[in-house]
Amino acid sequence: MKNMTDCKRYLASLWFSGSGLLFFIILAQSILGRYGDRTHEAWSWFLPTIMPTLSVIIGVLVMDAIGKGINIDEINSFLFKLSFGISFCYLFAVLLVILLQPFSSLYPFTVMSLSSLWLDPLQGLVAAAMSAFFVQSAAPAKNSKHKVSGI
Amino acid sequence: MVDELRLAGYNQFKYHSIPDGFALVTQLEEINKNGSRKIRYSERRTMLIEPDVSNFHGYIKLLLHGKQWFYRLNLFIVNTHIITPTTTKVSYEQAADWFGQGSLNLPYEIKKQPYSNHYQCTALVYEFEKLDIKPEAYIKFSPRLSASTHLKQADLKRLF
Repeated sequence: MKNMTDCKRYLASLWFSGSGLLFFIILAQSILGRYGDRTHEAWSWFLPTIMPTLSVIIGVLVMDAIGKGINIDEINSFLFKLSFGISFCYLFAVLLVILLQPFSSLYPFTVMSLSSLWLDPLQGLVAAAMSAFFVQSAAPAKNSKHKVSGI
Repeated sequence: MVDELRLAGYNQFKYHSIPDGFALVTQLEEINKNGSRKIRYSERRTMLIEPDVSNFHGYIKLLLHGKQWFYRLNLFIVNTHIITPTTTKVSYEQAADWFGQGSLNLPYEIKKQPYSNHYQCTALVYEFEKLDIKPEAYIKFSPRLSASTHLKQADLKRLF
């Protein structure tokens, strides 16, 4: 059984590595003129797909860093695995939108627009799973071994 | 001229009447970036030929630069007038109309006239580029290669 800190780090690693990979691919495409004068549209699609969850993760990490985070010794491993699994699927789906462009007969902005069909529900699931995972640590439970660091 | 065009693989062309002469226009053809003709175009396919993604280098190139298609239309003007180039841009639709609205045969009145030293033949080459990020703008005018290079790549250099 992993502790809360490890789980947060695993989730943060997944999100930062996945988002970083996507960021640098789109950055390279932008610099090389792949989107022409519609570069801002590509970023307008990309940033909302990752920023909300990244902001939450950074917020949690910052709270931990300044000693105001909530830690518990035993976490619900199912919730962690669920959050991790859905996050992985979501990031992989975002990555496919970019990586499959050369094989698609559709225009890239058409694919980006269409991707909301599958990314929006997935993003909702990610948000729900992440919320459930982080809320469990904040919720007082009977017989739980709370250890609130920094207090 | 027609024989040379056929020899070079241009089987479809149309004629237009112009003052004291005629204009011959070839069908819009898809070309490679260096101006050479797409091989499969000779099969008269109207669909866009998808770029090659069969190797890693080709895939990365398409991922980072996107898909590009190039088209060419040759216009040969035969008359006694001096042709002065202008900076007026021709849209893809206009160029397509030149071929679509031309006649299949040269009018008899023009055909029966002798080809004397007063006549001169001028080749105008129009090149267009299509990007996969601009479906609505479709094609932009982009003179990357010289007319001489185009004629050479189209196997029409013997005409001049």
